[in-house]
Amino acid sequence: MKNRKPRTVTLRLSQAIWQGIFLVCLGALIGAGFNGIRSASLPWTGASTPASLAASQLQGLEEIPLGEAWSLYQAGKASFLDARDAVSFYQGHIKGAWSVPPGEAARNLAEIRILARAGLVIIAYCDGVDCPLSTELAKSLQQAGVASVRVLVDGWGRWHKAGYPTEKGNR
Amino acid sequence: MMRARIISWLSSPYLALLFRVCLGVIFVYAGLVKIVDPLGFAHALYNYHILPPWMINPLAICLPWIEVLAGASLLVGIMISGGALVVSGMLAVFAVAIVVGLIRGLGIACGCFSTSASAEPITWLAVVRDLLLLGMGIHILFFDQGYASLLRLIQTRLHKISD
Repeated sequence: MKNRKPRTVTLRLSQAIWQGIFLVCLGALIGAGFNGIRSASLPWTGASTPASLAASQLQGLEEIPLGEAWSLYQAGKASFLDARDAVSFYQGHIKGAWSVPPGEAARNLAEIRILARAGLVIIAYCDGVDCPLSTELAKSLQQAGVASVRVLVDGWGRWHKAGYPTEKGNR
Repeated sequence: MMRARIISWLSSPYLALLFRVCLGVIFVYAGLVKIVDPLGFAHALYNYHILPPWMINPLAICLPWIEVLAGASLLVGIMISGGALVVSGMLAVFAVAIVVGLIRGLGIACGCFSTSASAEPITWLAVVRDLLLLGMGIHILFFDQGYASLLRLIQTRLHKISD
C-alpha cells in the first residue's frame, strides 16, 4: 500500500514516454507524407543551390545587384535597411544603414516612407543567401505601400567581402 | 482543512479535463496555422538563430503535425499522457527559445500562433504564457483520470456488449 503511489507515477510516466514517442513518430510520418503530396511542398534540406534558394526567398520582390547598390550608395541615392537582429547589427553593418528587423517594420514605417518619398531606393539586406529576413522586411514594406524597396541578397556578406564601407555600433 | 481542500481542488481530474480542452484547442489551432504556411514557419524557426540550417525544414514539415496530433489526443482523450508529455516538452523548448531570443535582443515574431514575420515581436509575456501552459500540461500528466475520453467511452461500450 505504501509503494502504491510511486508505482502509479512511474507507470504513468513510462506510459507517457511510449505514447509520446508514438505520437512524435506518427506526426513526423504524416508531416512527411503530406509534404510529399501537397503542391507547395517544402524541400527537406535548405541546401538547394544558392541561386534557387535566393529566388524562392524573393518571391516576386525585386533584387538589386551588388554593383548597382554600391553605385546608388556612392551617389547617396539609397537607404539601407539591415533586417538582422540588433546584436548582429551592433557587431557590424553597412555604413549608414538602419537596423530594422522585420518585426519592427511597422514601428519604423513613417521614417522609411519619408526616405522613399525623397526619391531614395530602399534596400533591405541581411546575411547569407538563405537568410529570409530581408525578404520578409521588404514584403512588409511593400504591403505598407513602400514600392521602391529592393532586396540585396546576402547583402552583409557580399558588401563586407567587397571591402565597401562598414561601421559598428548602434545608430 | 483549507489546505487539504485547496490540494484536493488542484489535483482534481475535472481541472485536468479543463486543461486538456484548453491545451488541445490551442495546439490543434497552432499546428494548423503552421501546416498552412510551412515556408513562413521555416522562416520563423530560422529567425531564432538557434537551430542548425539542416534542421529547419524537417522541423517545419513535421513539428506542426506533431502539435496537431498531441492537441487532438488531449481533446478526444486517446493517449492522453503521451499527448500531455509531448505538449509539455514542446512548451518547455519554446519557452527556452523565446528566453534566448529575448536575451539576445532579437526583435523577431514568436511564430507561435502566426507564421507572419511582421507579427508582434516576442516579449516576456510569451514566456509567462508558455510556462502557464506548461503547468497545465504537467497537471494533465499527473492528475488526469481520462474523463470524457473517447477511449473510456469505447471501453464502456465494449463492456456492455460483452455483458
